Amino acid sequence: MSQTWKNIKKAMLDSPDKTMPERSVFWKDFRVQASLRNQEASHEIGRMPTYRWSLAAACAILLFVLVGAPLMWVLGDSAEGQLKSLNIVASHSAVVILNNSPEQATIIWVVDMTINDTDGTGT
Amino acid sequence: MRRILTIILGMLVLFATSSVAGSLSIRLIEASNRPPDNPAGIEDVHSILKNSTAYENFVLVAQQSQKLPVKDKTSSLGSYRVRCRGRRKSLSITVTRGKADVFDASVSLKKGKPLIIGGLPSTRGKMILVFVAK
Repeated sequence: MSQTWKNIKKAMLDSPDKTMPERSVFWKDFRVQASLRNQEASHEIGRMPTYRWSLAAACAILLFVLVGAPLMWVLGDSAEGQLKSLNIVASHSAVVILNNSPEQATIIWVVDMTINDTDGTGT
Repeated sequence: MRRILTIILGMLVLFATSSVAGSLSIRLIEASNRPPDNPAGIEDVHSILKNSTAYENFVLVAQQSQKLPVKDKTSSLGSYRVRCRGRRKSLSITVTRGKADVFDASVSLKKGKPLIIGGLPSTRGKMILVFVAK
């Protein structure tokens, strides 16, 4: 075994690796690397700054208030409920439709309505 | 720009869904010329009924609530059956008593504003149906 290691050592010394730096160069580089200090990254990789999201949200809200909200108000409900169709099947003499503007209520009054139930008693 | 559009889209969806959902309140009220009484349960429409009709006494007979939009649901109020179907802005109402049809209507309701249909016969005066979308 010692003869084998002796042969390996002799072979390495006879044909040195030309890519290996000299000892003085190696230790000089080592001292430079060891003297370096870790620095914190300026920001987390993969996440945008929070102030950009806040700015985007503020712009979106402003756009919605200036454009979207008035548009929805115009296209939205009318001032009062609407009666689209009415069919009074029971016997009656008249129909009165009132719009109570202060309360925004719609009132439909059927005059002299008579309903004939199954037992034949009409009221 | 994409973030702004995403936030606006989210707000629009939230607004749209909140405006579609709701509930429909249906009340049957008996109007008569008896002395005025405590208008329990009809405080919101009592002044409207008093100012719009010739009656002094209004009593809540029955009350039902349905979720909007209504998927063809029938509610019993006193001797009347009220069938509703549709959304708040396109609501179909059919009222029957026993096997007799009373009336049917197609209406668009505004949130919180009552639709009052009165003149239905009653032994003491008249019956009134009040529809309110909330």
